[in-house]
Amino acid sequence: MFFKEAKAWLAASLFFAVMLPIAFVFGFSYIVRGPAIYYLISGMMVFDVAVAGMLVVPNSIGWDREDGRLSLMISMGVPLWAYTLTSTLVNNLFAIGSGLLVLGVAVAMRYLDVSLSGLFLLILALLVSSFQGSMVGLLMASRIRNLRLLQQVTQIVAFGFSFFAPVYFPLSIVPRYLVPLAMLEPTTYAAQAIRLSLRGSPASIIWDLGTVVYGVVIATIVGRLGLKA
Amino acid sequence: MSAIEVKGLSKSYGKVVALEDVSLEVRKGELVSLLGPNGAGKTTLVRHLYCELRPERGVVKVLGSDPCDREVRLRMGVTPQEAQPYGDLTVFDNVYYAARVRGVPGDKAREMALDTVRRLGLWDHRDRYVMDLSGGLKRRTLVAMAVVHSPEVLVLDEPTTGLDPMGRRELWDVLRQLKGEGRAILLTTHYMEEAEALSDRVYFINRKVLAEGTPSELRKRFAFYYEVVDLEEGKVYKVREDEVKEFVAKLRGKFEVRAPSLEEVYLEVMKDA
Repeated sequence: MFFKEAKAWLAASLFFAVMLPIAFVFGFSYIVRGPAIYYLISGMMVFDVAVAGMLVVPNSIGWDREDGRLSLMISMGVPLWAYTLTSTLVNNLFAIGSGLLVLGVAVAMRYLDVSLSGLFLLILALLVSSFQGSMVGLLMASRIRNLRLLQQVTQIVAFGFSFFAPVYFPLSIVPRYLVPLAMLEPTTYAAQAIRLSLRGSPASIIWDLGTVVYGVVIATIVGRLGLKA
Repeated sequence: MSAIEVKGLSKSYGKVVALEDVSLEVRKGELVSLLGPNGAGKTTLVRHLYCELRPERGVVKVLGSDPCDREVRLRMGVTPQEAQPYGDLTVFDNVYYAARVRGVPGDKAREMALDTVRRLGLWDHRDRYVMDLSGGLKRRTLVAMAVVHSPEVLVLDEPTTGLDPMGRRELWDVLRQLKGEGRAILLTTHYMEEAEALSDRVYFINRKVLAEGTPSELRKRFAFYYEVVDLEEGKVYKVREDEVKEFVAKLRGKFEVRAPSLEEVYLEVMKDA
């Protein structure tokens, strides 16, 4: 059902999932060279995951709530958690696909090389980052029932966590007094995990663990607060 | 056995009491309407029937069981208030997936969806995206989603709100057809003529049940006066039942005597609430 819905928005979906990543790689790789290319590529992947999890997922739930479809699903005997989880998975599949496409373009253009183990680590990092981002998205959707407010907050959060966090630049250049703040941002963990995985570094698994713990903490809060129709 | 049974249901939102000791019953093959002003608790009551809300006090049973039991909800069809079908799906897909999420296998779901779309007069629109439909057709699609799996119990929360007279009449025909098939139907509405035209029984509700009965019983019970229209002078008089004969005898020319409508009875009951 969700895939059929996506069909109605095929042009926009293809543009954002396929064309935009390609355009980004082409456009920015001209001005970003050397080791910094890893920050560009991983940053774009984090952006994809953050937008899907923290913007698309909560807004999709917000619209479903606004249009009474969460109530409709409950009345049909579908558990709310199952419905939101399916919606979340579909959105994340697009984000992960888009992230891998970015990698494909970058590799094809010989901007970077990724080993097989690196690819495995990357897929793992994208999965846990999607989970974490979606939990942040679900938290917002569970607390903010006003759709207008939800739309505004999620835009600020998704873009804020993409550009005001060490995503496109190293954590090491963040001023010491801002590091605790950076460590509160979910994208910090996702960005390190994804970037290190591109380099094939097993250290990415440590950041994966941090990402999972972050996601589980948020998921527990969401579970306690409950998601209501 | 009652299809829907509510006993002593109470619900509050903070300090606001939404429902107070409400009891009602809908029997199989019966269409019962719930009438009340905005904020009377109709939707709160309905949300208990499909387990969106849990009772603070009291008991809610559908088909003899707790509606939070998924098996019970699979035997129900509900159109929650202000719910919209999926605009990005076609009419057929909305109805088809409504069957699929209830666990009906693919081929069977397709067959049931096609049959439902045909029965509810949506055949010519089956391949159109719902976002392109009129309000009436969207509502009808929602009803189709509620009935596609042949439920024994239907709960419709203000299904005709916002429809033009034509759209409302079309939906009435659908409801009469469903009732004729022996389903138990609970309908909430603001429209008195709708309740009068469709219902076997009516509940007046404003946080608690104020009156209950068939439309004619209610009119009879609360008919303390008649309206006498003097057609010669165009004046309307409210005359007590025991004074009607004497009153009309004094009139010269043509006149009309009317019992109060359900709407007048409703206003009278709500005024005293």
